Amino acid sequence: MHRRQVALLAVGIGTAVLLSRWGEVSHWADALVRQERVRPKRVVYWTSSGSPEVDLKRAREFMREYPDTAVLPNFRETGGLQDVLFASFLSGSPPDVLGVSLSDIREMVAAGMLRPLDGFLERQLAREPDFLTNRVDGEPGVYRFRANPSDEYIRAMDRYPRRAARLLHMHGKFLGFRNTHGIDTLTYNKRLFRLAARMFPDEGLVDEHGEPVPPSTWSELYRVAKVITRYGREAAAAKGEADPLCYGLVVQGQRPYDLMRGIRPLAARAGSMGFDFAGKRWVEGVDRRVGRFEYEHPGFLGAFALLLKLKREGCILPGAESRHYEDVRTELASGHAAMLIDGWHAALIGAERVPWAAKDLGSAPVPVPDAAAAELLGLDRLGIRFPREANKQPRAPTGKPECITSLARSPEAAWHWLLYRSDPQVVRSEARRGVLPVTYEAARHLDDPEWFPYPYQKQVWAVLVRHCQMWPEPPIHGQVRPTQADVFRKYFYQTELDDLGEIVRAARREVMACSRAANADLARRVRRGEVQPDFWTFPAWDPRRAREFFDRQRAFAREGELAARIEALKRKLPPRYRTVGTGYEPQESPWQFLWIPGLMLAVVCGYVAVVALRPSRSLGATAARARAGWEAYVFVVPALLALFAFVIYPAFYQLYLSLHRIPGIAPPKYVGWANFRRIFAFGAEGWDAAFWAKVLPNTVVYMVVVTGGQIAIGLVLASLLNLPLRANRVYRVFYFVPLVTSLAIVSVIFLGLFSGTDSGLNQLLDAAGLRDLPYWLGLVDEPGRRLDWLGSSKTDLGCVVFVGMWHGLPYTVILLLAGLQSVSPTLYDAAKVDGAGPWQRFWHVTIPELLPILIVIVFNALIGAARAFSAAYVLTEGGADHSSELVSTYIFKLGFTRPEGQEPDLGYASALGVVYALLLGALTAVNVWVIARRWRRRQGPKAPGGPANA
Amino acid sequence: MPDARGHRRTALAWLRYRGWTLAAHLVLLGFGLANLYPFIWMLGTSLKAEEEASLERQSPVPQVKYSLADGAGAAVPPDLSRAQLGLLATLRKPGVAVSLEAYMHRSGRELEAARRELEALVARGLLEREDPATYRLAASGTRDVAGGLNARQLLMLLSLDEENQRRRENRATFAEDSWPVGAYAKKYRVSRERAAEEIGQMVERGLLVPGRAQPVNYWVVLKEENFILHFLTSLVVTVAVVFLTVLSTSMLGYALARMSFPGKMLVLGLMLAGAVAPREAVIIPIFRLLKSMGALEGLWGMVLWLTGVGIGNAFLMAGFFLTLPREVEEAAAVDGAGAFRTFFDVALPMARPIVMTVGLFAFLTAWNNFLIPLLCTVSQPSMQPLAVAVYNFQRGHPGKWHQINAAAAVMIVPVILLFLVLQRHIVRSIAVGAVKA
Repeated sequence: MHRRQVALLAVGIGTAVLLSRWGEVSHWADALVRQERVRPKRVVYWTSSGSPEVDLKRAREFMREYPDTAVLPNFRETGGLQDVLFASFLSGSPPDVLGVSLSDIREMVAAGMLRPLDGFLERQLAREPDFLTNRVDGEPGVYRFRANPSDEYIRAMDRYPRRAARLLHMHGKFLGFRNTHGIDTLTYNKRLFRLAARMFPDEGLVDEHGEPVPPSTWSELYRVAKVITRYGREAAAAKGEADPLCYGLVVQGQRPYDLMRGIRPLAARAGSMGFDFAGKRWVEGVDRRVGRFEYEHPGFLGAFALLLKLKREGCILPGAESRHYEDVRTELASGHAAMLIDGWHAALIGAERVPWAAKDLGSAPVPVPDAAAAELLGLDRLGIRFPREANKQPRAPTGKPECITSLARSPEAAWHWLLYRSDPQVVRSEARRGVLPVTYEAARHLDDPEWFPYPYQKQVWAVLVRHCQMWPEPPIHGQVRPTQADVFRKYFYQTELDDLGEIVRAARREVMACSRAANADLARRVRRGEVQPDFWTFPAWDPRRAREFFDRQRAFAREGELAARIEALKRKLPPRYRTVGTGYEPQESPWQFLWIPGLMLAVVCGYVAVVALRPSRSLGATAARARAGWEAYVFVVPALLALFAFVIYPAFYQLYLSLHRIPGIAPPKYVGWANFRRIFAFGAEGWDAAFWAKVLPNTVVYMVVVTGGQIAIGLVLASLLNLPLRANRVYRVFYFVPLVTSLAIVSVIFLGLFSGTDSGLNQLLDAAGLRDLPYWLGLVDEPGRRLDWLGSSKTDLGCVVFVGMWHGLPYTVILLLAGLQSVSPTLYDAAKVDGAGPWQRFWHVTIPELLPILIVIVFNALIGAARAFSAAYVLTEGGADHSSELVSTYIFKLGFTRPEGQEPDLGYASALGVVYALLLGALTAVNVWVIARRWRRRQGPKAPGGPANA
Repeated sequence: MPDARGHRRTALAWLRYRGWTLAAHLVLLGFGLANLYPFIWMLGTSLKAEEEASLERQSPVPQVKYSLADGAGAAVPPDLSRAQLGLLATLRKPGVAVSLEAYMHRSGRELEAARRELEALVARGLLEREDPATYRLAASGTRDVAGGLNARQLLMLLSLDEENQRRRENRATFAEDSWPVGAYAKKYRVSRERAAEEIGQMVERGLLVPGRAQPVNYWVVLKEENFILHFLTSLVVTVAVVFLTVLSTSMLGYALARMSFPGKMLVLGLMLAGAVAPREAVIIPIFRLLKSMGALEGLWGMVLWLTGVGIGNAFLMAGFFLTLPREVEEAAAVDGAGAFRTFFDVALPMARPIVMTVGLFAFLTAWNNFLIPLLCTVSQPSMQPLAVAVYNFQRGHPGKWHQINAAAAVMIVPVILLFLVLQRHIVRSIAVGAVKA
């Protein structure tokens, strides 16, 4: 016996130690397993200038400057390497890869500028076999990469566009992630080609088996273009339609001169030719004639004006439900696809071939910055006006230094942020933040014609920086609304104003107002001492001399001066912020758990006092009783400890937190009811409208629909499962299995079934012939278009509700079944004798008998639904603009993540938590009351009242 | 006299009698299978290869894929290089010309090597030389390149062989390379029927082996993505939580049911308050408390928090102990057993059913909870239990549904199996627990 106890004790202590050391153990185990993986370092990418020599020169310079950095210029020759990188980005481990082209890699390795990564590429390639091609025979370890983007690559791009954009932005070093092939990349519409080849077998496009032979040379391609054209004409004529412009020839290109070089001869040789600029993803079902181009650094206003133009033309459908449009916005906002144009390039090759670009262009003469540029760009045809007069008269400097802030956790990170627009620690929500499409890289190359080939662009840049006070990172100062990105969206969506120039002017006005408000807010917060050292501030910012500023910053970094400068800045801060640096963690007293025994002691003392004050019982007798039954306290203590630690103490602590402002790293500051005022001060400044307008209604809808649906479906199911069928034992298993599964994991599975336009749900709809269901429901504005059910703000809450309901259903069914089985069969017999049919029996016997337990079930379901977190969090993370946010996810996001790049607002989250707790507590209290009443009725014969269901 | 009419009449009568039952069967079966569809999809997709998993989502059944049979790589003559086969596969019509320069360009060979390779093809009768720099495809070049196989088929064998070799060398994945018919058709730009025909021919000759499932996904997830560790973590957490919950709730329940001591009503009142107080609303203070104590460095924070969630089960325990006969315990007391001995050796063994129930609840909470582990492992990703690990895996590997689903199955399948074994008990426990607690 004794030995057993010792053994038990040893096991207990061992387990306790293991539990407390599990962090280290698991870390060690993880490192052990993953040690052969390549750990990501820092990779710098940039977009090719179009000239390999220039790119190589830049890469070398850069690497000389930053020896620890890997550089991947985005060359034409490296399409395959890019594929590999892209794949590795998708797999979540950005590699430390260097590479230009094979010969360049060799050369650079020989020069000692690159270090070979032993085996990394091979491993990566073996993982992603599709992205590999052309293994050079006989030379182990040497690969050549595809010069053209493979079908797989394009498919992958189509599959992951938004995620890719987000991911790449998250890593933040990517200026455009599309392949930057010139006209070398020329593909064609495969479907049309097959059709055409089969229709005109005498054109020589088929082989001896009658299979279409894909073109392998340029001249064959021209022939294909001609045949496809012929096919298109005849098909259109057969349908009685106008001559189509799209003949399926796809031209991808990055820069106008590439296209010029490529398209003109093509157009000349293929006779008639239209465009389908690989735009399947962008313009599917909109207008096949609209192409899509990306151009790297056009400036904000240019992009804005052209987007506006596209919208006018109906090429981009406005509305948040349009996935394509969302893509445009995401990419535009994250600075990847800085410009999406068509007419620009269309004009380059002659408007007569692209009729839509020539029509409806306005009759007024267009004042453009530069006549030559205007002609080159065809701006007059597009109807874009830039107010020239305003350009001529630059705004007088205000004399006050403006501020720019950058979101970073440390000086190093701030510097990193400024350089690469990324902070390793910045959370992923960063990618959703609206960032305007102008980058620091562009500023560095303002005078470089490779970056700004047209004078017009430089001018736009000047307008942007000088007049809009806008910079790569628009100032983000916490609560200031609207942001510049909001203004951008607002004017993009507006419909009242007609004149493009006027819209641009108005947008600029508001953007400037935002900028001013943000700066004023920052200044105010600095005065009040609220500015957090997490937001490094650069007071010497002068928007007119951005380039010098950044050069200086870079010089600081190189010379180690940045640290000194930041130290100097820190010295100006209030003393409690001085210790802040890299890796600073908010500290709290580790002794706060002592409050728990303290609270317990207080409760015991209170009880003793109550006993002592009571005349009926003497304190001595009570103490004697307690001494006699002392073991009981040992029995009670463990559970009570847990109760105090996880229920009672947190409740007080929550109240404490909700009355404070906790700015992340500084000690809490008492603010009274300010946090609650943010919730309840309707309409006042700082009032949290989103909570009342979105979050709370969503939660109520979720609770009501989930509960109602569960009860309704559950009743039907339970009645069926209660039938005396022998197979019901098997059926029950079918329905009860979700009971034991985790809602989070189930949500992950449903994510696979719901997400994307090619989701399982959409395929199911297609198979059922209901492809147009979203259109009938008014969810998309065009028949035949597919809906991203989780991406649309109209349906995502529905998806969350569905998953929640599905998961909770078996629980309800079990309870209902238990209720049904407790209904006495004699009642049914009696009803049968009275001549009641099955429906009547259900309505008049089952439901009334079930009513008491039904109330319990309803409350159970309501409480469960109010607590729901996982489904909403996993499926949508609250959705865009809180469209599927529940209170629980809202609190979680406020308290533990950085929405919109702000610090977690623990005080406000706690205040919300208090409100939420009251809601939940009220529900639970009612539930407990109902159950207790039922118990009393059932058990207590003395209980007053008539029959149970009176 | 069973004539045709009579048969029909009895069938109708049977239908009238049994029709409702039949409809109930159909409805229950149909909806039951639909209800299970997510799990079916999960299992099916977890057995697919990658490109299937992301493209052909509508069917949970993996396609047939073809991998190389043992030693089939030898069917490709060693003197035919990949570039040569590629050339033959591209020039698909007799008489189509290829210039030496073009071949140099596409194969990346030096001039002499390129010429040599083309001449080798001429020697095999697959090409015809037109002039020193131009070659044409010979009539036999389209059909029989070597051993009755055409260039596409040989290329497929070669690619599979090379890919397998590479995978073995790099140990990047454990899966043998395999292609479905669609991939073949797409790669060599032939119609599906042709692809199926050519592949069928190779299968007949024992060069390819058809197969459907790719169970290696599980191994990849478990080993490479280290889900063994996450599984262990989940297991440890679950065992600890079940033990602690059962211990604390049974002790409290016993004290409430059997013992009388000053402050009993106070404890009861606190427990009731605890039952009413919402747990989800106070995550922030609990998180800060645990973090400041350093409990989130290891698993203790998570374990204690999850235990705290299940404290309300003490009511179930108390209710059960009340139904036990007092006499046994009194007899034990008479024999000289103290309170602890009585509880652990007499009362607790008798309370096995309710201990199972409470343990089951604790198990489900600890295994399935998402929010608490998510919070507790913010700074320690290696310490995530399965629920969080699967979620993060899904975030980190968007679109890789074959592996995500394998990870999800690692977590879900054990509990489903447990459910199948303990089904009756679980269902009864839930009914009892909901009504009483």
